[in-house]
Amino acid sequence: MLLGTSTLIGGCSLFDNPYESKTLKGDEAIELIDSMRAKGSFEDARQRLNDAAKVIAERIVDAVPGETWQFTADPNVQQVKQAGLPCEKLTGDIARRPLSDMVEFGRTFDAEEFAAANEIVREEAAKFGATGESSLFDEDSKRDFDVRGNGYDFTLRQGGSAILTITGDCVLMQSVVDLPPGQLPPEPPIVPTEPSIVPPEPPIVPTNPLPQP
Amino acid sequence: MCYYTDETQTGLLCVGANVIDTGFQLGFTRKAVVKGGGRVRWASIGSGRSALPILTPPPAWTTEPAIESVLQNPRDVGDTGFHGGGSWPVSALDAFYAAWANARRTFGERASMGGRQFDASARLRQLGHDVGCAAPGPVWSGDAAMTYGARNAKHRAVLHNVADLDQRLGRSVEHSAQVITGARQNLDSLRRWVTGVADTVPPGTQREAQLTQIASKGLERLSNVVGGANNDLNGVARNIDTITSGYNAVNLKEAPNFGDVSNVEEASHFKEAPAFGDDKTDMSSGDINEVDRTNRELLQEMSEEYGRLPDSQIKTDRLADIAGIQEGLKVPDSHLVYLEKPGDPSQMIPAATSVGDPFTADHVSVTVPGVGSTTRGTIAGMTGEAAELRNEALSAAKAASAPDRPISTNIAAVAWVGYQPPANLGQTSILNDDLAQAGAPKLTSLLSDLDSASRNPGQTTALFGHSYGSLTAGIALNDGASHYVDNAVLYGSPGFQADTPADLGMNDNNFFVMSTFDDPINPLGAFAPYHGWGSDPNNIISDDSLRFRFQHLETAAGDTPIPGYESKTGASGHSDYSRNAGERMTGYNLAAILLNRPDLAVTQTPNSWR
Repeated sequence: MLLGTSTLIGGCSLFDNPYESKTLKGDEAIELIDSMRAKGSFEDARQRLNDAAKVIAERIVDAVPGETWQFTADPNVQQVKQAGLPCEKLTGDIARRPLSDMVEFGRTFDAEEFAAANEIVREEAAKFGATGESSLFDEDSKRDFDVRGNGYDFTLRQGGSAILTITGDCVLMQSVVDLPPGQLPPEPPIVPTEPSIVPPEPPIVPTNPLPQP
Repeated sequence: MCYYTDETQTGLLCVGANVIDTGFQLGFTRKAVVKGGGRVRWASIGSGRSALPILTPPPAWTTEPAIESVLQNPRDVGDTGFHGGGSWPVSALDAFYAAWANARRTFGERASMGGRQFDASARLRQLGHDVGCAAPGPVWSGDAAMTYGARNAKHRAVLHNVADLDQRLGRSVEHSAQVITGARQNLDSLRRWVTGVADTVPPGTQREAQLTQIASKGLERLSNVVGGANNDLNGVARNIDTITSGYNAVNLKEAPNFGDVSNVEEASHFKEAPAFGDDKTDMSSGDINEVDRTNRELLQEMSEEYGRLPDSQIKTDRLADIAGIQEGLKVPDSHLVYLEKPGDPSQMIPAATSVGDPFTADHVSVTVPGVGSTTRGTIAGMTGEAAELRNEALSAAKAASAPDRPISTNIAAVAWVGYQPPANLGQTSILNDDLAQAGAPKLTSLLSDLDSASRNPGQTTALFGHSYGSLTAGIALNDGASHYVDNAVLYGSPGFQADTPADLGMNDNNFFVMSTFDDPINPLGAFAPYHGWGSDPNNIISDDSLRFRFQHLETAAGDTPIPGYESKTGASGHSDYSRNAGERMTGYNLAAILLNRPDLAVTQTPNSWR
């Protein structure tokens, strides 16, 4: 039976569990945590990303006449960006990947403006060590600029609207950074004391708000 | 002497001293070698459902007239089972025929009773829907409205519960009938097989020895047929016991109050009562914080209870299940939306997590995992993927949203590990649908519960099924889950028991398949028609032009229809589909379907697939 099955599927590697968690445990986790301490905390990293997004947005608005920007007021987006994304090797109570708040520009760019905006994104991304530009299906007509490197991903794209997002590398939560090295953080209780849905942070007030309709 | 029995040289048939053993358990089309008259003969053996794996009935022995003749004119064996005559000694086979006759009588002669007459679930669900239409609207408030609303909700819950029970009972009875029919067929085939092979044994000094060996092999297989059927029927009996408990629970907890909710206190008391027993999530409040907290409290209790068990594999596994759930709940914005405490601690703990609030979201997805998935080994990874999927859906929504056609960013992704699929492809269970059949009603129940508890009447639900989970999802859709599903994507599929989307209650515009060109499960999918799993998911139809039988979504790298949206990388193999949703074409397509925007998905043609 097994022989027949293996032949049937061409000796494939279907035996692995595609959903298997790859998080580290015990000493391996401690070692990784301690190696990440120098990168600071998730909370600080997220603030840095938002600061960078703000700098980029302001520079673009200065360079493109008539353009405006704001951090999105969409509470669903705010909540997702605030929470960050899970890391591969550490659980979400220990580390996360920070996401900047989403920058929404007031109008789309034409080709020349988009090129100018790209240049600004390129310069600011370089300050984070992100210098690798996406070359996949690179076409002049596309309005999608992506710079990656050093764990960061700066993306400026426009479809119905022009949007800037920044994703950071996996960093420790502040509560973990605050703990002494050489140990795992305490396991969080199964039943938390706080509701599982945390209200989103108040929206950041844009420096150059969109005109009201 | 042994011969390979098929082109892949995986099946051996041995004749003579080694006794004939064709190993036909797989149920796929094969060739058998039968030795007779001093020469090797070939015959094709047709396919059969692998759910009856012991001995596939051979309906089409085709190539050798001599063999056909034997099979078309089996020896006359009366009810006693003893040989009625023949040109060769019968003593070696008498014991087999006697045992065979007794076994055959056990399974009776009358047509088996199907399960449909026990299943009034469709009418009950419609009735529940009708009752729901009579729920108090937003313009009626106050105690009277609350009392009436609670009574209405109670009636709906009872109808839903009884519908589920009816459906499960009908399926169990149907399964029982199939077991009996299959056993009869297997026994009849076995007798023909023994008779036919015995007829091919030539006269001589070795004849008696060979007949004894054939009879011995026949008795061994007879034992397997009876034992297998017995095991299956015991399983059916256990299922019916469980269903009976469900009916009793309805009677005890709900029927006495049915139509007798006379005040708000009683109404609120009902609201707090779980549908069945005390060990399954009641999500009827539609409050994610309340549901999450209640489930976590149950998880805490289970952790303590299982922790007190004596050291054993069961204790290790259950605590590992709980640890897996805990890890999943560390994913940002995740909630424990479903938890069940199994009555038998040896059983896996079924659970579902949600990233986002599935009761208020505008768009919800439910993902069903496949082979090898367990709560302890799967739910954490699935929850992480749910977070990635939601983030990709959110990005796509923001990029594609237009003033005249906005796309909501209120999204939730549910990871469901509520059934036990085969542990790996080495298990025989991968070749039948028993575990999928067992899991499908649970999936339907979850979808129904989510639907009932939803606070968002405009909510859309997408069902995603991977690998064996696509078979489970297909069966569930076929059995009525499509009532709760707006779109479905089944990927890496070995088959999903459908020849058209309509078989699943879906259509070409809301039912999709994804298959990477090098997914090693594709050859297994090609065999789907031969073991009752519907058409090959990748079946290509050639009429005016080549097209997939089921609409395929792209898995290779490329652009999306959203102007300015980033290009996506391709997926390959069996496990990439839902990984790194933000980067892959497959993740983008799942996101587009989750957003109820199939028009934004990237479709695939047969020409671009290879």
